[in-house]
Amino acid sequence: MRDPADLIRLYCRDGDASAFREFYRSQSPRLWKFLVARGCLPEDAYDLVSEAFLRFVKTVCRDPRAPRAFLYRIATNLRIDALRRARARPTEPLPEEIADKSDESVREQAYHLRELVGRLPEREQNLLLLRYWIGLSHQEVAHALDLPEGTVRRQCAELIAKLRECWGEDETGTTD
Amino acid sequence: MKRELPTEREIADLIASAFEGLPAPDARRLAAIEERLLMRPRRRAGFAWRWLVGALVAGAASALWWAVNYDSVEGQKEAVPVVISPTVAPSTSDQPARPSRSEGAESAPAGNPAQKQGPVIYQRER
Repeated sequence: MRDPADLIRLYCRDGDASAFREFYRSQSPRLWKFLVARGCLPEDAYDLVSEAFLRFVKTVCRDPRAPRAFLYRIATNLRIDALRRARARPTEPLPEEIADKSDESVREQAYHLRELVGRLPEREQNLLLLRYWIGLSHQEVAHALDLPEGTVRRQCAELIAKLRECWGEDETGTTD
Repeated sequence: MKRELPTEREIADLIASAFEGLPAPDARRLAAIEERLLMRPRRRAGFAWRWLVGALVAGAASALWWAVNYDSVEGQKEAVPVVISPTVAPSTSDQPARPSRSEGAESAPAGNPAQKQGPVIYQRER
């Protein structure tokens, strides 16, 4: 699979539709999952994916260096707008994960971790997911969330430590 | 059930696996979005830049042409012969000072028809 930045560079330079198609196919399923993980209804997540890519395709060629960060920045902002519009509506609980053949304890851990992440403030959730799930670099996360890179590095380390602490506290709680 | 306390590294890895396990989107819905995106005409990136560069090149070419041809154009202007009329009109500096109204009123009688017709043209004697 080619580098997303190369694909977008090809698209912007030569109008290569197949490069854009490849970029879209590699990014859209994960973007949809990201939005659902952030509390969007699955149906709304399709609309946001569509809107995010539409805005992305209109403006990405102005600066095609970090397309993934740019795409997630658009999606995160759209998600915030959608949240403001539907503030009265409670956040959608995460859908059940697909039945996989993974170990029961791993699934248990995953569920527990999602719960812990869900308790964090909105911005911290975005930061953790973009860095450790979507796999953006610190610099890209900084670009996506409009934060200084140093702050992103520091907060990532702090959040992981905080999650571990919460995990430990929960363990104490369950065992007591 | 007691869970083992993971290390920070393991938590970072677990985040990815925890969220990757969420249900996948409907491929047909995503394909429909893709078609809509690719159907719209792509905005030509750098279109304005091309105009700007074109204008600059045209300006530079024009400036270059003037730099090369300026002397010859000026030379042509100088080479144009000045046609001098055989009847020499008196220059304004040669004309005597116009009499003031008060003087004219004294020297010429009121109602002189020659004065009414227009200014008197003096010509230097040869």
